[in-house]
Amino acid sequence: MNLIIKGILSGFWLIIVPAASGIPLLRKNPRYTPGECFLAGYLFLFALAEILILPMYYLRMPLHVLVQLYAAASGLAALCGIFCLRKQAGRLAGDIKRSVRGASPYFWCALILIIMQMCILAVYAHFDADDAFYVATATTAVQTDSIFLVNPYTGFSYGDYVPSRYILSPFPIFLAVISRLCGDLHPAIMAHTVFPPVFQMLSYMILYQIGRRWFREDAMRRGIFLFLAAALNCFSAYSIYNAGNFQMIRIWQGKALLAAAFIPMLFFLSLAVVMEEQPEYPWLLLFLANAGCCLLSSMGIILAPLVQGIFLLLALFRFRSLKRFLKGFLCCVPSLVFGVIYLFVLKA
Amino acid sequence: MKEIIDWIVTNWNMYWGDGSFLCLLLAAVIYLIGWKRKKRSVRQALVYLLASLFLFVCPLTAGIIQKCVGETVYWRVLWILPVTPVIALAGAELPEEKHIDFLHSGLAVVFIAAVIICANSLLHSGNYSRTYNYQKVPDEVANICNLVLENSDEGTEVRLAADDHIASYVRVYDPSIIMPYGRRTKGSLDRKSQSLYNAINSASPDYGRIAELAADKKCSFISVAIPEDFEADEMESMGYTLIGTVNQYGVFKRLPS
Repeated sequence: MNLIIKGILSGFWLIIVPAASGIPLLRKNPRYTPGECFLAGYLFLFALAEILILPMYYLRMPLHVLVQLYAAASGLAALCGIFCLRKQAGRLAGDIKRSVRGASPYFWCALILIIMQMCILAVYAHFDADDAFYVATATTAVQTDSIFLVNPYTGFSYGDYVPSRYILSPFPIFLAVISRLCGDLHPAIMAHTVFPPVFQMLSYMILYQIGRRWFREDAMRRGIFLFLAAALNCFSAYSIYNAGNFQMIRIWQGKALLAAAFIPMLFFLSLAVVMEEQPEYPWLLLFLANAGCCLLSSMGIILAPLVQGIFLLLALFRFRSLKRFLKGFLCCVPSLVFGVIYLFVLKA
Repeated sequence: MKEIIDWIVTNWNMYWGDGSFLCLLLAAVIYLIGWKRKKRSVRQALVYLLASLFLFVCPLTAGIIQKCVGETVYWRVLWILPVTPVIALAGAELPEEKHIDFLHSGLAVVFIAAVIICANSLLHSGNYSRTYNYQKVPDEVANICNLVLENSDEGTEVRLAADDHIASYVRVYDPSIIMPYGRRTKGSLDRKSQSLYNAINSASPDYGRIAELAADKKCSFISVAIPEDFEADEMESMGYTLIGTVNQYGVFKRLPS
């Protein structure tokens, strides 16, 4: 299969399917935007991947079965989304037109900067030795049609050894699944060329949503906010540890995506759901975001409940509502369960 | 207690590097507290920022989190600080209403210049390079792997021993190549594999020893840095013959005995 067809398939699985599968989650919101659908779709797909991969690892199922299940579930969700879209298509098209017309010049400057960053990430390479595990796990999974059974460093079977730090956060397997779905595109090409621009877009969409929240009626300031966020990331090489640096050089790795997109996503959702008298999104999104963080990195299992916990305590202080606190607590269940498994079962 | 505090300070300093962004964040926080604290969005962002900072610096919470995440990656807790959103929030709040008109206040020029400066900063950060392989691994790795695969015998396992730089990317490029150890000896088969790793990464490699250990680990290929005046006698005596060079690396194949 040639590269153009694989590119089209990548667009389908990484842009169309997420955008469509997010629609059912937002259907109760009468004014949802395509950007919100895209983000909600990724929350759903990452949570779905986490839920599918873990039992399939324990059942020692081959990768191709996982690929089929993921394709069926995400495809079904996307079809549901397209079905829900029927009644809203006209309204969405109108909203997009109005947004484009109403966008400030600052927004267009920000967009130029973001597209430029996406192009740099797609064209240039950054060598990161951590790929020896993260990307090699995906290439190994595809080559051996297995899930975490073969050591990516060497190519020999893990045997009885369990890579405890990674099996609860199997983002490399998600990479393998997407590579298979995109016409067996080499996982290294997927990770180094396709994922970076897509995830860069994802992370800026989240920042845009934060800006939209903070400057609801002020398109000019919204544009300035997005521009400054994009500009700040261009200067994030002040240390190799900060989130901006991870975003700009190795966003294909789960931990980088966690720092660049999913922690800001939790921040945004917590503001919009936990800290609002009337939540703007369903609590389910917060739950999915938490599960998504677990997929990305073992750090996500710890950091997600920290972010949500801070907001839950602030909300408890502000609203004095135990019911709200309990709802929020339930949204942390994935990371709490995986945290307990990791600390007391796998690490032990 | 003192140990934990030292560790917190070390991680804090590591994260902020030269400190420029910390100054920017501090300036943003001072501005927001001083002039915009009545806005709900500002209050929420700042309260969260302070609460997450407290989690990081408080020795009690730091100790618990460190136990969970591990000491070496404690700095990652700072990822939960909304640094970029808070600085951008302050920047977006800064201009007065009358100065915000893009075209009339001449800001178009400023912003276009900013785009160019940002692009320049990115491209010259030293983080990016061009490669001539689609997998985007270092070109020398791709060339070594191609050389190995071209010279491998059909139907036989290809097992390659290489130094840490090459070993880190070999299986990213082509997972059909088997290795006796991975990056920093991870996944090593046994002690001899680790000895091979040490020998091949040594500043002054003993080629005879490398060949001996590689033969023991049934490596069909070796990729090792060689000097310009390299003499292959020691390797050849162990059954390895030079099949090509890629930059400073010599690639050797084990001939059937």
